[in-house]
Amino acid sequence: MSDKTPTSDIPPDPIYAKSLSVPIFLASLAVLVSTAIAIVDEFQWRRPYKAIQQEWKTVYPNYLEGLAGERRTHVNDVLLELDEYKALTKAQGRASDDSKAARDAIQLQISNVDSKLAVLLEAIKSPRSEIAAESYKAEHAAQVAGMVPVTKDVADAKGYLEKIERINARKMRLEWDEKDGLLADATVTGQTEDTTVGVAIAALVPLQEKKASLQRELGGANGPLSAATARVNAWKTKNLGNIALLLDNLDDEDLSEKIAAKVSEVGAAEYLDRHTTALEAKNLQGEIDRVKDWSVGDLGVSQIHIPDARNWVDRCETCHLNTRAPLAVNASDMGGNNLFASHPRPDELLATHDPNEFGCSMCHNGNGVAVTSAKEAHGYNKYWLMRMFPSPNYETGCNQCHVGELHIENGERITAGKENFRKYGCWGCHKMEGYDPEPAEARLVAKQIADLDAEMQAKQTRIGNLKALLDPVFDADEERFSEMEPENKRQRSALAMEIAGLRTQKAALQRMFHDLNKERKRVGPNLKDVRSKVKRGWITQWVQNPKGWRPSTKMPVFRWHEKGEAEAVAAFLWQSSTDTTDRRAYNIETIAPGDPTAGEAIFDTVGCLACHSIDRGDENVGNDFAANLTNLGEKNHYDYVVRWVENPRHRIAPYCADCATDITPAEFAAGAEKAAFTRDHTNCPNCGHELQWDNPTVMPSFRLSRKEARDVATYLVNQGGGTGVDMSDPAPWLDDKALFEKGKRLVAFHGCAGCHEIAGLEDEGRIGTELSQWGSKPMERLDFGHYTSDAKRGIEPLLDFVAPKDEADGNDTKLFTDSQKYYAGKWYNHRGFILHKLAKPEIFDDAKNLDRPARLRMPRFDLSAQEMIDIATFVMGSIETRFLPESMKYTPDAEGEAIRKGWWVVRKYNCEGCHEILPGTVPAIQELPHFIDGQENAADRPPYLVATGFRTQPGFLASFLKDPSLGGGTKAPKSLRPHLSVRMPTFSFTDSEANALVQFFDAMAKQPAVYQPEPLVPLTAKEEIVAQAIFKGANCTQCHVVTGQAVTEETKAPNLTYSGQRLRPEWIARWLQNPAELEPPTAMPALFRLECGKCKTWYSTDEMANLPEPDTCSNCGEGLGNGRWVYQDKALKAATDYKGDHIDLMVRYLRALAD
Amino acid sequence: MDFQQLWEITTLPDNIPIVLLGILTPFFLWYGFREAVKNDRLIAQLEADPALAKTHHRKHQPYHPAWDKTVHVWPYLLRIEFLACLAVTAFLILWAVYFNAPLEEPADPTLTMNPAKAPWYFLGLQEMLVYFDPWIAGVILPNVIVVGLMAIPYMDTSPLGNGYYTWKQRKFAIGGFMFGYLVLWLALAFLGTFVRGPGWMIFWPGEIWDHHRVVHEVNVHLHELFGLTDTLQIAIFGGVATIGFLAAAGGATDFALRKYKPELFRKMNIVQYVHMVGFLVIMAALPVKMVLKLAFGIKYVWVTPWFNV
Amino acid sequence: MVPKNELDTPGLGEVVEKVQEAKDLHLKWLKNPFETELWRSIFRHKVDDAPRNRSLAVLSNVFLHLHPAKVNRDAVRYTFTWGMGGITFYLFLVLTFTGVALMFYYHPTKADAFRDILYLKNDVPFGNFMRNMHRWAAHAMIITVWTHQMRVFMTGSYKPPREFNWNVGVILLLVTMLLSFTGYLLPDDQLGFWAVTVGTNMARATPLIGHEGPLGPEIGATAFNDIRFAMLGGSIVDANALLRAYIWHCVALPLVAGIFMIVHFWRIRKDGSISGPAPVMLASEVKTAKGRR
Repeated sequence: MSDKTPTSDIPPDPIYAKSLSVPIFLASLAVLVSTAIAIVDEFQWRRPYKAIQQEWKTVYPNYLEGLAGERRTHVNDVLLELDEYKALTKAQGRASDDSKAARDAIQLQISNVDSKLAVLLEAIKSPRSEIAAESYKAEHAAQVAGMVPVTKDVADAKGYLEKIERINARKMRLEWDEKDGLLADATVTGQTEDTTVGVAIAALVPLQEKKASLQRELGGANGPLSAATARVNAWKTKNLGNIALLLDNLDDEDLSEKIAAKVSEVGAAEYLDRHTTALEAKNLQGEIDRVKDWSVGDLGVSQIHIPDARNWVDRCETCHLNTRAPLAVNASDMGGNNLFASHPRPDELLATHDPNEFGCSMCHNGNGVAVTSAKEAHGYNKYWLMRMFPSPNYETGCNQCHVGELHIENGERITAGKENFRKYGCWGCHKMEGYDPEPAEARLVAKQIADLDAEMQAKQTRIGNLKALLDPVFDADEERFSEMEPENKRQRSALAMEIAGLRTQKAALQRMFHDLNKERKRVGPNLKDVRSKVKRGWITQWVQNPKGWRPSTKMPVFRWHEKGEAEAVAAFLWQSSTDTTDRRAYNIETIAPGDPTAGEAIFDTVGCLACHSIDRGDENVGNDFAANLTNLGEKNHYDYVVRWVENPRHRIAPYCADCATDITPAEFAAGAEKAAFTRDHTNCPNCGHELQWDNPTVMPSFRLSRKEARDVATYLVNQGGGTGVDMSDPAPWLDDKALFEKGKRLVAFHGCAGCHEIAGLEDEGRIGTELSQWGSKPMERLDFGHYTSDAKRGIEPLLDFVAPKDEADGNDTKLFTDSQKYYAGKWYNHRGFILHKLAKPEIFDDAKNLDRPARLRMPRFDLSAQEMIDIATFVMGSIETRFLPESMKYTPDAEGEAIRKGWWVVRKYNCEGCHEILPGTVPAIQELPHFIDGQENAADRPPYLVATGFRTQPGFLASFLKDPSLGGGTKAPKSLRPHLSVRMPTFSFTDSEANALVQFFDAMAKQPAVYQPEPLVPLTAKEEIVAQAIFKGANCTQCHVVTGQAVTEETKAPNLTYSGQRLRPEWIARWLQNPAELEPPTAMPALFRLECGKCKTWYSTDEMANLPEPDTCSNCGEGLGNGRWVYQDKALKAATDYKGDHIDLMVRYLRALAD
Repeated sequence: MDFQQLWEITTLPDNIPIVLLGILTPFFLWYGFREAVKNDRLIAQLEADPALAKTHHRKHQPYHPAWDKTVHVWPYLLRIEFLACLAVTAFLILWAVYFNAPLEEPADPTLTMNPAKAPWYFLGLQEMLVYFDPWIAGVILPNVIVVGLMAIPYMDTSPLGNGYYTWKQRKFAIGGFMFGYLVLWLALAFLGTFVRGPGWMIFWPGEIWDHHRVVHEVNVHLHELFGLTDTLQIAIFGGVATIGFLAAAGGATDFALRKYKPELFRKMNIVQYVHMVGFLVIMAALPVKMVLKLAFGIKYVWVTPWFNV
Repeated sequence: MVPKNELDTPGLGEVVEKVQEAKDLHLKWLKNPFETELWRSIFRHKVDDAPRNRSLAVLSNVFLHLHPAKVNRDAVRYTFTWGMGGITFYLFLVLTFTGVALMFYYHPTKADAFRDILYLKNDVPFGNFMRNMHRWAAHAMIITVWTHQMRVFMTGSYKPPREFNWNVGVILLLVTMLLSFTGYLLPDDQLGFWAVTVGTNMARATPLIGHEGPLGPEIGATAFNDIRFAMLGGSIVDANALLRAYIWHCVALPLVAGIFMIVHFWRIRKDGSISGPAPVMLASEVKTAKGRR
C-alpha cells in the first residue's frame, strides 16, 4: 500500500487493512445457494408429478404382473362363452344384420323414390297448373249452368275439358338418373322416358303411397333389433358376475377350485372387483411392456388441447396416469392410491364424451392447466372460480349440458338429485329451470290472447268507421256512392277475413291455455277443501309438526316461534277453505259406509300401492311416491275420501284464473245464464273466462264405481292401529275470526302457497331464491352469517350431525366429516353452504338478533345424508357455463328431444310405479306380495313397456292413454286386459302430455316419428274359413278374449278385438313368428312353423335358433328367407290346403276383428 | 381474542412489504441515531473546549493524519457495493421462491371487494379519505406533500448538520420530518393494513373481520352544533371557522418559534418563513381533523354547495 | 532474392515451423493474458495494483465512472449512506431485466391479460419465478426509496448546494410509486382492478378538472372529459385503462425515471459527491457562514 511517512509508528489504516473477502464470500455463496434453490424449485418442487410418475412406474406394472402371473379367468370370459348367451347374441346379431341389410335396402329404395318424386314433380308442375286453370273455367261454366256436374255436355265446359284432354295427351320426356323406369306403360330408352302428361300426373299418387309403405317397412325392420338388444342387456344384468353360474360351467377343474377357494376367502364381490381383469393375456403383456419401456426418462407433462374452449389445456393425465387404462383399475389395486384409479364406466361415459375432444375440466371443472400442486390443479387455491367438484358430487358437471333432462343415463347420483328435488317439492319455493314451467307459459299465452283481442277490437272499429263513411254518401250522391262502394266493401270484407283468422288463432291459444292449466301440478294437495276434508282435531297438530302424526310424510316441519302460531295458520286455512255446509248447493250427498274387506281387496289389487304405501303390522308396504295412508281415519272425513277416490280431479268449486278465486254456487245462480253448478258449465258467471274444474293433483281416477269407492274409503278410514295422538279436541280457535289475518300473514310468510293452492293466495310467487344458476353465484353473495370465519377455518358446527332419517334406519354416517385431503374441513364453498342449509335450514340465523320477518324461512326436510348429497350435486351443477364452448353443449336430435320431454311426464305421473320402462328396473307394484306369491306368472302384472313403441300404433296409444276404458267410462268400462285386477287409471292427460308419451315410447324403440298403417286387404270368403279354422284350432280364446266373451280363470292375455286399431301389423307378424324374442317374460307359445320353400320341411323357432348354417334349410340347403309360415298342426286340413302364408292371413284376420 | 385474523393479515403475501417496512424503518432509525449520538457527543466536547475545536478533525470516525484522506473507489467502495448487491439478490431470490405474488379472481366490475384497498403504499392517503373529502385527501394533500418536500431545502437555512447525523443541532427539522413521514405516512399505512377491515370499519387486532358488523356513527357537521340552517350562513360560518383555525394555528406557531427558536426566525426571509409556517399548519390540520372526526364525530367543518372541508 | 510468393504451397518443414510459432504465441498469451492486445483493446489500462491503474479502472469504465477515482475515506462504510441509493438503482436494474422477460409473454388486452399471467404461472419455465421476482423487487424498491429519502434528510444532504438534487429525488420517488401503481393493474385481477379503481376515484375529485371535484361540474367537467377519463381512457377501469397503464409502466415512466436518474447521479458528482460523513460544525461557527438566500 502506498504510504508517505515511515511505517514504524503509524497505525495501519483500517480501511486498507480490513478485507471484505469473508462477507463477500458469504454473500456470493448465498446468491449461489438461492439460485440453486430457485432452479431446484422450478424443476423439482413445482413439478410433483415427477415423483408421482416414478411411483406409478413401480405400482402399476407390479399390479399387472400380479394379474398376469396368476392367470385369472375373467368371470365374463366363461359366461360369455355359455351357449345360452351365445344364442342370444347370435339372435341379436342376426336381427341387427338382417334388419341392417333390410334397413339399408329400404333406405335405398326410399331415396330412389324420393329422387323420382323430385323429377316427376318438377316435370308436371307447369302442365298441372294449366290443367287446374282450365278445369276451374269448366267448373265455373258448370256453376253458371246451374250447378250441374262438369261434363262435356255442358256447353261452355266442353271446350275446356277438351283442352284438358289435349294437355294430357301432350308428349313429355322425363330424365331419370335411375335404371328402372317407373311409369308402367312408358317406353324406357336409357336414362330418359317418353310419356304423356296425363300418365305422369297419374303416376304421382302411387309413387307417394309406395314411399309411405317403404317407411312402414323401415319401422318394421327396426323393431326386432331393439327388442333383441333389450333382451341381451336383461340377460347380462341378471347373469354377469354370477359366480355360481361360472363355477358349474367351468371345465378346467383345478382353476374352478382355486376360484372357489378365493371366492370363499375374499367373498364374491371382492373377488369380482379385485381379481378379475378385462384384458386377455396378450393385451396384458402388451400393457406391461408399454409401461416398462417408459421407465427410461420421465414421462413429462401429457396434455389435452381443447381449441374450442379458447385454447384451454388439460394436464390432468400427467398425474392421473391410468384414467384411460385399457382395464378397470381401482384404488385398492394401486395400493390405496386413488390417483391411479381408472375412469369409471369408460365405455359409456368416455365413449360419448371423448376426452380428446372434451378434455377433463369441461365436466369436472378444476384448473387443468396447473401441475404445480394437487391443490392448484384441482382449483382449490383461494381465488380459482371453477373449483373441481369434490368426491361425492362428481356428477355435478353433467348438469352443465344436461340441464333440461330429468333422467341422465349413467348419472345415477344427479338423476337421484333431480328426482329428490322434484319429489320433496323444492321447486315449490325455489324456481329451477325445467321444473313447473306451466304457470310462466300460461301467463305468456294469456298475454298473447290479450294482444289478439286488442288487435281484433282494432279491426272491428275500422270496419265500423268504413261503414260510417259510406252511409251518408248513399243518400247524398248516388253516382259517387256507386264509385266508392266496391272499394269500401272489398276493404271491409278483407278486414272481416283477418278477424276470422285471428279468432281461430285465439281459439288455439285458449286450448293451449286450458291444457297448460290442466298440466300444472302442485307439490301438495289443494287446501281449499280443508274444511270438508279433514277433522278439526287433526289440522292444528299437523301444522304444528307433521312428522309427529306421520313420521314418513314428505311435508317439511316449519319453525313456529311463538305459541299459537300453528293455531292461527290452521284457523286461516279453515276459514279460507270452501264452506260446504250447504251440501245440496255443492251437489254433496251423504254416503252410506261400504264393506271394508272388499275395499281392502280392491285397494291391494287395483294398483293404489304402486304410489301409496300403508303399514301392515310393523312393515310398510307399497311405494313412497305418494302419501302413507295408515290411520287415514284420524285425518279425513269418510265421504270426502269416497268422492276423492272416485274422482280425485273433481274440484268442489271451480277456479277462475281471471277473478283469481273459486266460484261459489251462489255466483253461478246469480250469473247471467243461471247455469247449474256442474262440470259442463265451463265459463265463469262473473267474467266469462274459462273455469278450471280440475284439481292440480297427479292422482289418477281408477274409474271405481260408487260401491267400490265406498268400500275402499271405508277400509281406509278404519284401518291402522291409531297413532295414539288425541284428535278429539274440538279446536274452537278454528272459527276465531281474529286469528284469520294473523294466520294469513304467517301462511304468506312461510310460502305455503308455493306448494299448495290456498284461497286468496293463488298467485303467490315462490318465496325462495332462484336456483337456476346458483352454482356460479360468487362467494360474496352466499351469506354464511356468523359462521363465515368458522367456515373459512374449517371449524365445523355440525360435526356429529347424523340425518334423523339415517338414524332411524340405524345408519350413522356423519355428513360433515369428509376428510377431503385438500378440502379438509374448510366448508366456505358452495358445497359446504348447501349441505349445512339442508342439514339445518336455520343454521345461518344462529346468533343473529333479528325480528321475525328477517329470519330464514326454509323449513326442515327429513332427508337422508345421501339425499342431501345428491340434491347438492344437482343444485351445484346448475351454473351459467361461461367456461363451456357452445359447440360442446348437448343438443339432442328429434329422438333425443322426445325422450327428454317424455321423462318429465313419466316421472311426473310415476309410470315406473307399475311399468318396466327401462330394462332391468323392477317397478314398485311388482314387489307387492299380491303379485309375487299370489300369481307369480307374468300374466297378472301390468304390461312390459320396453320397446312398446314398436308394438302399439301411435294413434291408439294416444287415445288409450287419454281414456284407458276405451270409451266405456266408469259405467261400462271396456278393458284391453280384462283378466288383470290391476287397472290402468285415467290420468286425464292433456293432448300435449299424451303426445309427449307416445313420441317418448316411439323414440325409445327407435321408430320413425310418422306412422301410417298398411291398408287392410279384406279376407275372401275362403280365406275367412281357413282363418277361423286356425283361430279355433289354436284355441286362441283360451287365454285371449274377444269382446262379448266371458273372462275365465285361464284368461291371461289381451282382448283381441282391438288388435286391428291397436297393434302394428309388422309387430303382429313378428310376434306370431317368435313371441319370446320380442317380450321375454311372455307366456305366449310359438304356434307357427317355418316351411322351407323347396323341400317343405318345417322348422320350429328353437330348431331355427341352432341351425348348423343360419337361415338355410338343413336338408336341401335352400335359403329359409323365402319360406312360408304355416300353422303347427298338420292335422288341421283347412290349414294345410291353404297355400299362402298362414301368419299373413292371421294378421289380416286379427285386424278385421274390430267389434 | 382471536389472533389468527392478525396472523392471516401479516402473512398475506401482499402485506409482506408493509411488514418488511415495519422492521427496516426502526432498524435504520436506530442505525442513524447511533451516528447522531456519536456526533452530538463530539459536538458537545468541541463546544466545551474551543482550543480542541481548532485542531480536531471534527469526525468521530477513527483518524490519523498520515492516513489518506481519500481512498480509491476501486476496490474499496465498489467492494461494499458489490456486497450489497449480492445480499439483495439472494434475499430477492429466496423471497421469490417461497412466496408467490398474489393473483386473485379475474377482474369483475360487478363484484365489489370488501374492503377495496388501494396498494399498501397509498393506504396513508386512503385513510385520509375517512376524514376529508376526496378532493382534499386525494388531490390537495398529495400535492402539498410533494411541494412541501421539494420546498424543505429552500426553507431550512441552517447550515448545521450538512453531511453528518445530528439530533442536537437539528431537533426541529428532524422532528418535523419524522412526524410527517413516520406518523402521518407510515403509521396510517399500518393502520390501513392491519386495522381497517370490511366497510372500512376499525377492527383492532384480536377482532375477527366480520362482514355483518354494523357500527352506528352519528356524523354531524360543525355548523349543526351551532344550530345554523340557512346555507349562506352555513357557508360563511364554515369559512370563518376554517380560516380562523389556520390563522390561529399560524399565530401560535409563529409565537412558539419566536420564543423557542429565535435564531431560526432571524435567518429566514419572510417568504421562507411564511411557507414554513403554512406547511407546518397544514400538517397539524390533519391530526386535528382526525380528532374532530373520531372523538366528536364531526364530518364537515366548512359546507358550501360547491365543496366541503 | 526473389520475394517468396506466400501463395505458393508451403513445404512440410515450413508448416511445422508455423505450428511451432503459433504454440509459442498461445503459451505467451496464456502466461500473461493482461498483456495481450485483446485485453488492452477492451480495458484501456493495465491490471497491476498501481494507484494510476486503480483510478483508470474506474475512470476508463463507462459504467464505473459514475464514481470519482477517489472518495472520502469514511464513505466506504454503510453507516452513512446505508447503501440505499445504490440498492434502489440495483433494484431498478433487476426490475428492468425481469420486466422485459415478462413482456415477452404479456399482452395488455382484456381478453389475454389474465390468461397470460396464468400461462406464466403454470407453463413458462421460471415464469412464476420471474413474476414473483418482479413484484417483490418492485415493493422492495418502494421501501428502499423511502428509506433513502429518510437517510438523505437525516444527514441534511439536501442542504445547499444539493437542494435541486433533493427535488430530482422527490420526483424520482413519485415516479417509482407511479410505476408500482400502474404495474398493480396489469394482471387484471380483482386486487389490481379495485386497487386502481380506488386510486383513480380520487382523481375524479380533483378541483376544476374532476367531474366530482369542487367547481368541476360548474365548468363543464363530466365523467367523460375529466382528468380521470384522461388517465383511464374511459369512465371505468377497462381495456383502455389496461393499455394506458401498460404503456406508462413499460415505456413512459421508466424513460422518465432513467432521465431523472441521470440528472440525479450527475448532480451528486457535481454537487460534491456523497455529502458525508462531513466534519461536524459548531453552532458558534454559524454566524460567519454565508447562508445563500
